[in-house]
Amino acid sequence: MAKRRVAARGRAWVALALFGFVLIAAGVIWRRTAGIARSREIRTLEQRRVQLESERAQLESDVRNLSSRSVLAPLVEHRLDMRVPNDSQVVILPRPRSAP
Amino acid sequence: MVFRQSRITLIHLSLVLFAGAIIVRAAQVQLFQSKQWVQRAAQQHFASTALPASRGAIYDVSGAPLAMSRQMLRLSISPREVKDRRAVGRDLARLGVPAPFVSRATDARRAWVDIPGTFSPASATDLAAMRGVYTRPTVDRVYTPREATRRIVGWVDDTGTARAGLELALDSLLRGIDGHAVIARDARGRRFDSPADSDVAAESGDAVQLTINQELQEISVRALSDAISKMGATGGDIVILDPQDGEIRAMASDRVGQPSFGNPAISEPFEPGSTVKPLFAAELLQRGLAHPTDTVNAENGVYTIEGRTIHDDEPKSRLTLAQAIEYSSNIAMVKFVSRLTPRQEFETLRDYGFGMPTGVPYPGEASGILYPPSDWSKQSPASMAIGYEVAVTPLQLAAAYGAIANGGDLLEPALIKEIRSRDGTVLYRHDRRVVRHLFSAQVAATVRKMMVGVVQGGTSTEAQLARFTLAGKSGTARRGATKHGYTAGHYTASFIGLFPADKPLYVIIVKLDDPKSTIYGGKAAAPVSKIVLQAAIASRDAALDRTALASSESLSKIEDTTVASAGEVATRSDAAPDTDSAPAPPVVVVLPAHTAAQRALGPRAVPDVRGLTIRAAVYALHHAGFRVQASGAGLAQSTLPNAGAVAGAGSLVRLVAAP
Repeated sequence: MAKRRVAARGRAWVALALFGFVLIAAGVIWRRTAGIARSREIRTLEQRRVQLESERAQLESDVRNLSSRSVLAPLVEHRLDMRVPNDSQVVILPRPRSAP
Repeated sequence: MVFRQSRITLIHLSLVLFAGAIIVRAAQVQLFQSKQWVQRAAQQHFASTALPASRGAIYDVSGAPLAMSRQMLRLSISPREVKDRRAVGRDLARLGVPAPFVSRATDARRAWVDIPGTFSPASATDLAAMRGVYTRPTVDRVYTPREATRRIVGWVDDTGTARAGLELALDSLLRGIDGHAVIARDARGRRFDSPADSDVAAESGDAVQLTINQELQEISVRALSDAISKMGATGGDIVILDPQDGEIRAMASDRVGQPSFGNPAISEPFEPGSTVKPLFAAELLQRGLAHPTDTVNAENGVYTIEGRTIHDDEPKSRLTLAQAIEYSSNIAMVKFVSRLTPRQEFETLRDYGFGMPTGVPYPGEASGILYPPSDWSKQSPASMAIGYEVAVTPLQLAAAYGAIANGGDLLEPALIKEIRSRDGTVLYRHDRRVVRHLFSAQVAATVRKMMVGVVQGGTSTEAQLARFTLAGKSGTARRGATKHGYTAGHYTASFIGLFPADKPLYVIIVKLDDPKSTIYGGKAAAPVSKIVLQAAIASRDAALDRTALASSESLSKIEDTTVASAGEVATRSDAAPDTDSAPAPPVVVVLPAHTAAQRALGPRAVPDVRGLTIRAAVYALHHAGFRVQASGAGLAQSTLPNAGAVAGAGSLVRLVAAP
C-alpha cells in the first residue's frame, strides 16, 4: 500500500515536471514566434519606408525637372508669348534702410 | 524462466548499445563535427544580404540637388520555386521586362533567372512577395536637370559604377561603404530580420556641392544650343567664371552629331586668335613697354614679316595700343608684341597658365599647347601675338581673363565648393587660391577700359547691354590646322566678356566652332553672351551679387521707376508687351536672392503687411522668405495667403495694393 502511494507521488512529480517543461517550452516558443512576427513587421515597415523614400526622390526629381528652365522656358515662350526681359527692363531695388 | 531472463538481458543490452550509439553519435556531432553542422545550419537558416551604400548627393552652388540616390530593387526568379507562374509572368510584363526574360522566368526547367534592370520598390511590391522571387537592393542615381549638367556631373551605370564626369573623378568620396544584414529564413523559406543584431549598416558617401549654378547652366546650355542651330556651327562652348574667387558658375558644351560625353570646355584646346591680344596688352603695360596711347604704323591693313603677310579686316594707318585692341588689329598687335623678346612672350603666355592644366578636378583636362621658344620658327612670335601656334581650353582662357577682371591675380579655377561627410562635417571647402600675381590693379583697370571700347565702338558692339557696361574681346581664328596651313573657310568665333566692366562678377566665354552664317566672333559669339547675361540678370537665382550689381556705375543712370512687382523676379500682370527696339517701362524688379538660412527655415507665417507701402511690403515678404507677385501701386491691402497663414519657404505670395 505504502509502495503504491510512493509510486503515485513519483508519477505526480514527473507529471508536474513535464507540465513545467511544456509550459516553459510553450513560453519560449511563444516569445520566439512573437519576436519573429515583430521582426517580419519591422521588415515590412522598413520596406515600406524605402519604397516611400524612393517614390519621394523620384517625385521630387520629376518636379524639379518639370519646373526647370529648360522645360518651362520653351513652354512660356511658345504658349504665353513671354520672353526674357532685356537688361533695361530689370530694376534692382536697393535694400531699404529700415526693414519693416 | 532462465530463457526469459536471458531475453530480457538481451533486450536491455540492445537498448544500452542503441543508447550508447546515440551518445557516441551525439558526441561525434557535437564535439568533433560541430563547426561543420553549425555552418550547415547557418546556411539553411540565415543569409547575408548586402546593403548598398547610398551614393553621396551632388548639389549646385545654391543647394539645388543635381544628383541624388534612391534605393531600387533587382529581381531574380527561381522558376522551380514559383507556385503561380502566370501571376509572376503577368507582373514581370507589367514592369516592362522584355518578353524573353518573362518566358525564361516562368520556365520550370530553369533553376535561376536574373531579370535585367532595376525596379522601384513600389512597383515591385506584389512581385517581391511571391514565392520564388528574390530581391536585392541596389542604388539608382537620379539626375536633375538631366541634360544641362550631364557633361559636368557625368553618370553612374546600372551596376553603380561611375563612368564619367565628377561622378568618376570623385567616386572614392561619393560611393560610400556598403554594409550587410543577416536575414533569417523560416521553414517555408520566408525571410525576416535575424534576431541576432549582427547587421553592419551602410555608410552613405560624402555630399558634394559644386560651384556650378543650375540656373545659369541651363541658360548657357539653351543659349549655346540655339546659337549653334542659328549659326550652323558644328559645336561650341560657354564658360562662366566668377573672377573674384575663381569659381566656375556654368560650363556648357555642345557638339553636333556627337554624344554628350566628356567636357570639351576643359578637354579640347583651340587656337584663341585675337582673344589673346588684351593679355599681351596687360603684359606690355606691366613691363612699361607700352602705354595705351602709344602708336604704331598699322600699314593700311597689309604687313609682311618673316615671309608671312598679315592682314587687318579694318585697314588703318596708325593705331594706339587701345585702338589696336578696339579694332582687333593684327598688324598693330604684332608690332606692339615685338617689344617683348621671344622668351618674354613665352613667359607671358605661360604665366597666364597656358600649356598646363588648371588643376580643376575633372578627368581628362587638357594642358593646351605652348611650345618653348627653342621650338619656334621665325614666324612664331608674330603668330603668337595674334593667338596662333598656341592652343588653350575655354577654361584656361576664362581663368586668364579672370586676372584682368579681378585686378591681376591668376586664380585656380574651382568646380567644387564644398564636400561634407554624412554627419555634416566639412571635409573640404574651396578658398580663393592665387596661382600668381600677374600685374597691378591699375594695369587690369586700363585693359578693362580698352575692352569696354571693343564693346562700345569696336568689333563687338552686338554684345552691348543697355544698362550695364560690358568689357569684351572677340576672336576669329582659322581652324583645321594641317601641315600645309589651315583648311579654307573654317573658323572659330569667340567672345570673352567681363560683366560688369567696373567690377566684374562674371567672366563669360562663348566659342562657336565653324559657324556658317558669319565667321566673326563679334557677330556670331558676342550676341550669345548678351543673351546669356540678359537672362542671368532677369533670373531668380543666377549667382549674381545684386548689391554689387546695383552699385555698378551704369546703374546710376537708371531713371526712377515705379515699383510694379517684386519677389526675386516677378512680372506685373498689367504690363504691356515690350519690344527689343523700344524698351518699355520696367516691369521686373529683382531683390537679393534668398539666403540659404532663409530657405532652410521651412514653413513660416505670412507677415501682416497691410497698410505698408508696396515697396516695404514687398521687402517684408521677401525678407520672410517668400516670392512675391504684386498688383497695384499704392498701400498694401491684402495678401494671398492671408497674413498669419503658414506657407512654405520660397512659395508665391500674391500682394494686392491699392491702385
